[in-house]
Parts: sequence; C-alpha cells; structure tokens
Amino acid sequence: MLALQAAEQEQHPELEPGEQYIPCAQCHQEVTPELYTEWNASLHGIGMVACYQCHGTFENFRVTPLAQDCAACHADRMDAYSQDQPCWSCHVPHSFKAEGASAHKKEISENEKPAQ
Amino acid sequence: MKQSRRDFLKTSAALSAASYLGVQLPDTVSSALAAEGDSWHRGTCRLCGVGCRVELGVRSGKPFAIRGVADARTNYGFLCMKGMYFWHCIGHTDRLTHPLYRAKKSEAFKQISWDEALDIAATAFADVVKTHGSDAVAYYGSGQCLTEETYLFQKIMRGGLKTNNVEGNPRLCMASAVGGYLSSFGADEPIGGYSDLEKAHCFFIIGSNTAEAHPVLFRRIMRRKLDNPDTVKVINADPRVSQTSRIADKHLQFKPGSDLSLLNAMAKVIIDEKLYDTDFLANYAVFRQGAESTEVTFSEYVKFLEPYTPEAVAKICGGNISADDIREVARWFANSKGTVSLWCMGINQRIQGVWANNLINNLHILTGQLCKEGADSLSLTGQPNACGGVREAGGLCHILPGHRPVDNEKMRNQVEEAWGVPIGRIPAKPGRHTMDMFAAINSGAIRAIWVNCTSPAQSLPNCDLYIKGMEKDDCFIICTDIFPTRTTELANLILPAAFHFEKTGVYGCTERRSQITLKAVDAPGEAKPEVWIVREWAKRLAVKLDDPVIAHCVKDFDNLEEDYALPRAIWDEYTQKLTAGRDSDLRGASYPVLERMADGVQWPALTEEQALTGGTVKKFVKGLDPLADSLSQNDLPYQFYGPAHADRKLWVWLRAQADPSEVPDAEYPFYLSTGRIIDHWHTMSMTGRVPELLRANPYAHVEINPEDAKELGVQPGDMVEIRSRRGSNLLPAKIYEGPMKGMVFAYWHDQEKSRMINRVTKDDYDPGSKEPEFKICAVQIRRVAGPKPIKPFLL
Repeated sequence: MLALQAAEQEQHPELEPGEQYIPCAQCHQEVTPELYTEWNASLHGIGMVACYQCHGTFENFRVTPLAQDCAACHADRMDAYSQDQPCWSCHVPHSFKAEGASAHKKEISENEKPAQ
Repeated sequence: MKQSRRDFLKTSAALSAASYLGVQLPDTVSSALAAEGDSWHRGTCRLCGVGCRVELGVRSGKPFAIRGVADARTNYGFLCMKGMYFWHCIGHTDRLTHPLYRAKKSEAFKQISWDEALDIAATAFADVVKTHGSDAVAYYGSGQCLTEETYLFQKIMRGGLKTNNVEGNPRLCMASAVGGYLSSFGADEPIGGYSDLEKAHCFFIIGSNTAEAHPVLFRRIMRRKLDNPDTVKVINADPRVSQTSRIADKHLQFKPGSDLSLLNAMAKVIIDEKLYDTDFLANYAVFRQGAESTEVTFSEYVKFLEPYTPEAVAKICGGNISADDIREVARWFANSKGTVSLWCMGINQRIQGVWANNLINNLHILTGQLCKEGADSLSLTGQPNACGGVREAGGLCHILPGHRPVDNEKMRNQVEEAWGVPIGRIPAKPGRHTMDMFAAINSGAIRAIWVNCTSPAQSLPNCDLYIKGMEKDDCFIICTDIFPTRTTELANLILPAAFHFEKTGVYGCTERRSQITLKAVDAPGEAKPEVWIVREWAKRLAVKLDDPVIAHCVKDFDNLEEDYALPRAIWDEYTQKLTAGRDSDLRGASYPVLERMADGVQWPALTEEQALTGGTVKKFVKGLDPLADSLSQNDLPYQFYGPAHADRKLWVWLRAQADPSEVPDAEYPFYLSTGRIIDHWHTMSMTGRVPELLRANPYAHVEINPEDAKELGVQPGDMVEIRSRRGSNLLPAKIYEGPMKGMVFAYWHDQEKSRMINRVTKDDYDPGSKEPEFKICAVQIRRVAGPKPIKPFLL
C-alpha cells in the first residue's frame, strides 16, 4: 500500500521512449546538479550504487525510496527501524551522513563493522 | 482504481517500450523485508566471482525479493545492482521452457519432448563418435555452471566418450592466472583471500576495474581506504582511468602492453633500494627463466633487470607515468605492513598473460608480501564458479578433477580408479583448448559440440570467424541455457535449463570458498537441472554406442531425484574420491556441512571438523593450513607443498617485455581495449532482461579520449566506426577522460550485431595459457554520423 501511494504521488515526468534509455545520472548531472554532486561524493557514489537501486527505474520510479530498498544491502539495520522514523530522517538523502542520535536499537560493534 | 489519462499514457509508453524489447515490467516494489509466511533461502549470487551471500525471499512458491546478509564474510550484506536484480530471471517470460529442435540450421525450431530431445542428443554424439572418432565431439562449458554439472559433464566426456575435448569459458578469462599461480607458487588459486582486504595497508590494482567488475569487493577496499586515508595506499595501474581510480592515491596510466616493463621496473626499484625481504627469499624462493625453467642466481636476476630503470620504463609506458611515480609505488608496495595485489582481465587476457601474472607474483615473493595478514597476490575471478567448478573439477582440456594434469599417467590412473573405468580409458593427450576447439569446428574436425551456459558466438574474440563454422550443418550444436542467445541461434538442439535457486549445487568463488545454494523455487515449464540432463543423456549414449563403461559412469547416480539427492551424490563422489590427497581437498565440505556453514568452506578442508571452522583462510601457513602441518619438511612457518613445484619453492621469474600480438600502425592507429560495465553481465542475456539494468546501460558505447575526439572531430553521441583487420562496429561515442590518448575502449555486452565488439577483437592467444588477447588490438576510428536514436537489442 505504501508503495502504491508512493508511486501515485511521485511519478517521474514524462519521457520519450528513447529518453527512457538515458542513464538517470546523465540527465540529473544537469537538472539536479547539487543532488548529483552530493551522491557522487558519497559512499554510494564512489561505490557505484546507482540511482535506480533506490529510486527504481522509469516504470516504478519513486522520489522517496522505500525502507525496503535500503534493506537489500542494509537488512541488519532494519531491526531498529520504525515506521515513523524512516532511514532518511537521519541519513541525509544522497550524502547518507547520519544526523542526530542513532535510532538503531543495536549499535554496530567494531568487529561487526564492514570492512574494518 | 481509476486511471488518469496521464497514468494511461505513461503506462502505455512504458508497455510499448517493454514489449518492443520483450522485457518484463519490474514489480512495483522489491521488498527485502520479511512478512509472515515468507521464507528466506540462503545461497550465493548468480553473477561474478565475488561469491556474495544472499537470501532469496519466496512467497507462495515465487521469489519476491533478495537481500544481503550482514555477517557474510564475502559481502557483509552489500549487493551490487546485478546481485539485487538477477532473481528477476527466475520467473521471466522469455525463459526457455521446452526442448527445441531443428535438423538443419536453416529450419525453424520445433518444440519436442524431453524423451525425443535426449534421444536426438545421444544419437548426434554417438553417430559422430562412430564415424569420426571420439575427438570429433566436444563439450564447452562455463564458469557459471555448478561444480556438480561441470564434474559430471567432463566425466562423461573423458571416462565415457574417451575424449579430453572438455573446455569452458574460464579459458577466456582465468587461464593465465592459473598458469601464473602454478609457475610462481607451484599451486593454483590464491594463498589468502578477502579477509586480507581489511588488514592491507597497500592495494596494487592492475588491469582490473574492480569498482565495476567486482563491485562489492571494491566497496570493501573503498571502506578500508576511506577509513584510513593516510595509512592505506591504493595504486591503480591501468591504461584506462576508471571508477576504480577514484580511491587511488596514484593512477599509473601505461600504454597497453607495457605492463611487463612496469612490473619489472617496480622489481628493479625494490632490488636497487634493497626493499626486498632477504630472509623470505633465502628460505622460500629461487630464480628461474626460460621454457626449461632453468634456475639462475640472484645476481643474474639483478642483471636481467638492468634495462628496466624507472626512467627508461616511464618512457616505454608513456601516459602520465614518471620515473619517480614508479619508485614511489614500488616503495609503497614493499614497505607496507601488508600489500594485496588485485588483477583481472587486463592482465590475464594478454598473449603474455602468464608472464604478466608471474611478474605480479614476483613482487610479492621479493618483498615477502605473502602468507601474512593483509598480504596476498589475489587474482580476481570473473565468474561465480570458474574456480570451484572449472579449475578444480576438471573443466579444462588439460586438467582432471582435483588439479590433476591430464598428461600425467599416474594422475589419469587415479581418476580412472576412482571412477571404476578401465585403466587407460582417459586419453593421455590433452584435448583441444577453446580457440583450437572452435577452429576445429571451422575445419570440420569437430562435428558435435555441447555448449553449456555460455555464448561463444558473442564471447569469442574475432567471433565472426567462428560463427561461420558454427553456422554450418556439419557441426551439430546442443545448447543448454535459460534464455535465447547468439549461440542458441546457431544450435540444432536447445535444452531448457533450471536457473540458480531452481536447482541445488555448489559454487566456488575467487578465494577457494565453496558455498551451496539449495533449490528454493521450481523451474519454469519443462526446464531441468543439467545434472539430470547429462545423466539421462549418458544412459542413452551407452545404449547407442553399446558401451557399458558409459553406463557405469552414471550408475551410482541412477534413479536419484534431481533436486537434491543427485547433485549431492555427484558432489560426494567428486569431493571424497577426487579431492582426497590433493591441495584442493574438500572432503570435509559435505552437503550437510555446507548447509550448516552459512559462508561455506575454504579448501583445503580434509575433515568435517576442519570444514566446520570455515576451512583454510591462508594456504601454506602452519597452524592455519592443515596441509602445511601434515606436509611440513622443516621448521619454517611456511610450507609450499603445491603440486607443481617439486622443490617446494616460490619461483621468481625472469620475464622480459614483449609486444602484444597487434600494435597500432599507420593503417590502424588506435589501441582497442574492451571490458565490462557494472550493470551488465557478459553477453547480457540475463541482465538485459531486467529493466532497471537494461535502462542503465542499454547498448554499448566506445569511449574516446577528449584529445583524440578533438582530432577526429567526434562529438559526444556521434556514431563512430571502429574497424580492425577482422571486422567493424558502429557505436555511439562517449568522450571521456578514461582511455589514454591513442586508445579507445568498448563495452562487450551488446548483442546487436553492429555493436558486438568481439567481431573486432583479435584471437591470438598466450602460448602457455591459451587465453586470447581480448584486451589489445589495433583499430581505425572514424566518425560516420552525428548522434542517432539507438534501440537496445535482445534476442
């Protein structure tokens, strides 16, 4: 249901069929340069996590990703996730830096941290 | 719910685009969160050699999501986009679901029953064997087949049909790394593994765009670097600046083919500045040269390196490299507390591929950057089971299961005894390697071939030449696959195979790690696991050739159900009988152990007790590797017991610079190199059918350096012809500070004929590894037209 609402409220502007095959970042480098720059400098940008992995592609585009989108890679962080406090209320969209106190029930111990 | 006009238009537009392509629209949402009644099934990713652990979500018998698992030792929960989306292949409407047959390649395919299909497959091979002999049939497999599949196929070919014509596409990607490991360390496959990445202080990445080809490993390296920006150094050496270069402290952009000089120059700095590890060399290394592996002295090695001064080599390499750069990276490499080298096709797909591998390994031997935490010479594997299935289970023409050379009688006899077939049943002569195999189809020497889970019509270099042979009716072609490909187009018989999670079996990734994926959902239509197909085919072959030995090859597997019992019995035979006493000993990694061990097992693991600890993280180290203890011959902590070096030493090789097979000249003035892109896998038959992935990179481009583009008058998006002495492509241009001046770079996933770059590449190969030099050839570049609308293409 959440997904359906998101899809209804947040559609991508119309695109010609040919335009639908232009990678998101190519246009957004020009139309939303701040977001592009922020993403590009983030861990997602350096690690090549692409726009469509969170926002979907043309047919299922969503401006606001669903928590489930994050969970494909961050399923373990969902333990503490609550419906009224989605990931991006703390993790700034596109830079992903956390703001404020952690909402995660369990902080990650040193030896659990990826790549430490 | 009422649909607005705007919604209707949008949906129609999307539908027409999708139906035009034959793609399925994606689900509205891919939930990675569990709901009540959902089940999650552990397995590995289907794509690439990293071996990410995943969980497939299944609801009412259908997959609905995939997620990473945070404690997975391979991927720590991270997935790249291919890992996130490959499961959409499971229920895809384009799946091959029934056997298809045509007697002649000019005819249309007709749907037939499995009974008819197996009979036709057996008759085709039996007839060729009777008329032209055993060496007129061949099997060409894949690093994407399960180990059980590769093992059983090669058993039927060698033990049943008496031919070593057993090959697989890892010949095109990993063979030079195998040659490098065997000749440098005496044993195939890496000494260490991924756990070294988090302990390394220097990364030397050469000939690998890790960020796109092995994205999740790259994220581990990226984290290591970004968390320790001052104390961890990343060196990226490649003729093309790529996404991988973003984390590099230094990018060395060298002229294609000058890699041997660069590596020798780094060795010279290490020698001249006395950065080598004297004790390590004295205890564990010797110096060798030439075809006879003649031992030479350290002084002779030093003399050999004399021409490779940083100044001289900087000139040879061209690009942005200075003599001081070479000195600096050599110091970083040698002085760090732990250095990991990573390389892939840029090094392997060369006619000096083995030599280039040797020279990387040399740096590690000289500096003792081996066997300790955070240090390894780590060859990245392209495919999910090139190591586990093809390298370890006998999937190449010159090797039998358990890392046994075919041309060694004792080794052949061990296999024959294990199989219970007559001694002498396996021919002494290795079979035809990949390029020779397809050349033999052209010449008419091979009359029937089984292509399993790969598309040589697109993935062979200079592919037009080999398509000509495959098109002819004098070679009967069987394909097992899940989707139509450029090769199924040339087949007589197409057999629909079960996909990942639709069958059970083991994948062995880059770091000697075997992981099981159990069947979680049913295959569509009549698609079947390959192990069932091979067993049933073999039984019919035995009748048609009136040969009880063929029947004996599958006797122990008869009547076993194919979803679990059959692959388990095959795995048991392979591990218990064929890996026993070998360096790749997997006897402890039984199915129950693999099912219990979420991260699988790293070999050697001789017993279940060892396997239940995870196996061997570091080979050759006493206390870590059970074989290093049991085969120890002295008090030294490292024991290099590998089967290829009787002297139990690491070999530092004297390998001189040599030119690639083809270098630019006045007529063909540019280097062409090719490679992967993050969103697509190989020939795109799977990833092209996932709308998210297709849209991200719907067709191939050619990357051109801005300076070259200016001289050629090429603007972004212009249509550019790339022409070599073998063929041409017409591709849209990307103007990009990626490839160095004088070089262009093209992606190889596109199936559309005018964009299939392997029509342009060269098919010369390394004389040792027989791996072709995909990465370098000479081309002309010409602007043909301005930007044109391009449609993605899928068969």
